[in-house]
Amino acid sequence: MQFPTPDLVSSHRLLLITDQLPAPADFLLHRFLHLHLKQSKTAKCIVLAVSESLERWKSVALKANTNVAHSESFQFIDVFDQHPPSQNRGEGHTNKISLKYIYDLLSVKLSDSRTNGQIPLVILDDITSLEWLGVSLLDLSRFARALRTLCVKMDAALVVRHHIVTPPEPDALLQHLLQLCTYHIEVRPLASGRSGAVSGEICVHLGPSMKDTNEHVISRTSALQYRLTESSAVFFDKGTSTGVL
Amino acid sequence: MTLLSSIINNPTGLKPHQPLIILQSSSAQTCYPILRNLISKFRPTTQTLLFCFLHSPSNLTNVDEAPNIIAFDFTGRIPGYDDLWCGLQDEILARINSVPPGSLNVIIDSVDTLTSDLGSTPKAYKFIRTLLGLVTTRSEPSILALHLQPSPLLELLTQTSLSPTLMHLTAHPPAIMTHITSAYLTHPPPAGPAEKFWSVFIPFSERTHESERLVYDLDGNGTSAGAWVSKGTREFVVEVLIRGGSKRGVERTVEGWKGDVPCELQALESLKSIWTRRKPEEARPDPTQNVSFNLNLTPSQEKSRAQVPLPYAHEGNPITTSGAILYDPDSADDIDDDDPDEDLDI
Repeated sequence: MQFPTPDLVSSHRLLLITDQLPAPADFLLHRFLHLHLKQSKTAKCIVLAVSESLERWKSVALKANTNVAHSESFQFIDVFDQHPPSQNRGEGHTNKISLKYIYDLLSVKLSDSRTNGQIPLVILDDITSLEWLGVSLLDLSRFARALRTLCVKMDAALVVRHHIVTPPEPDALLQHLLQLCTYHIEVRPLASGRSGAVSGEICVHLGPSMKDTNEHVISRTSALQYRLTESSAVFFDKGTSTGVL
Repeated sequence: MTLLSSIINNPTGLKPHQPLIILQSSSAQTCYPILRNLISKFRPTTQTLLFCFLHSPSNLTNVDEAPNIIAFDFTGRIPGYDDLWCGLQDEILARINSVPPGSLNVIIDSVDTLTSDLGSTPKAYKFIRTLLGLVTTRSEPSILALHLQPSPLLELLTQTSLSPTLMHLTAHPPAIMTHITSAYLTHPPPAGPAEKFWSVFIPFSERTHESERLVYDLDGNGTSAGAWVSKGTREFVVEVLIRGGSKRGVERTVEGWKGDVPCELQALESLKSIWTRRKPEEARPDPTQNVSFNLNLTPSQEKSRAQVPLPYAHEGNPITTSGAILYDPDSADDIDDDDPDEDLDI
């Protein structure tokens, strides 16, 4: 059993990955990166990082035998390291995050990588931390819209991670993201609690604007379960894990 | 033919004419399939202007195949990221004014996005009011269709001061009907009385967080796209409200949507369980029948039982007419006959 199916991550799509504290989706982001870079030597991936550092991305990728340290195909933008050229030093907000600047930077990087015909993959990890750090909901929803439009224009695939803190009630940011997304990949802990054999389950839902299609959809009732291993994860249908049987 | 299908097949055909159509989605259930279907059913002779703020026009219509539909992709016009966004209102008004006289359909795919871009609800309301004015003053019946999510603007748009006539379509997840049936014991008409149903349904559905909970909780299906049924089709429930139509006052019904067509509520597969009535309870089975041992007493056993003295100590004493508690204290009891409330002076 493989996840994701080959063309889930494709251009003009916004994939929203939501996870919860007991079942984080880090492994999925690293897996997307690994699969994307494996496709071809010229494949490109740009990570807009908010919560994890470059060292961590490198070390996890190394475990999966993806060499990102020296390769040009992996570009890392640390959202907090980017500052727009000092125009208003006098105002004193030098460490305020400028989303527009990040957007411009990404735009430049994407247009640079446009020539070789490969679909670039953009991963925003994660948008919730930006909200927790004080960026307003309005700015974030506009940033998400702008990212989506940019990736559609540049034929890129966009993956955005969002943490769910209140599972049964979607917060305002999640509601905005749900409206925008093409597919919603939901990583959930098992309803019955922690287990050694199964780390959690994955569902894939259609975004609201999509036409009816069964492609890639995994409903909650037939969710795919996974178990984390040393370097990645193992996927299986419900009840078929060797540990469970 | 359901009310919803008559609206979609011929939106300008209702008498009297209804220029304003509001399609309401929520995080619990999207209304997009209805909007898509409505656009596909527009007559080729009617000019249509589609203004898209949230999703690209290709999600709603096949732009190449419909020459009468002019689509405007405003998804990139985002304040702070595009300098041209501030002229949007004038651009839209100019486009509408430039359409030759005749029937016109104007569609805005996300009014709440437009409101957040304009920055204020009153500005958005004024703009919609202007749009509606342009649409209603046309020589032929024309329509303004607005798609939105619940927001403060929705309250203003449904007021009679904006438009005395209104067609309001709201999408609900099928889970809302099963929940109302099981938790409130209220079935939708015709299985139950209509007044009772509406008195429960309207307040419940207005509390959008309840519907969201039904969908996103552990038991819900976790998606706003609708309930998946066999053959890869989605279903959901549609609440249709028509104000100022052929019937006086407000006409309200609940219907269904399956795949890309409207249908009756009874035709929804995910709601089959609410129509079957519970069978009347059968007589309880007698537990003393069909056991492998004899539970009856022989006459001699009955006689022996009757001779067993019962432990009630006061049996045989005449029953006192007034109720009395006969209590024999044992050695551990500390009985004091004084009245403990003697010194209470009320």
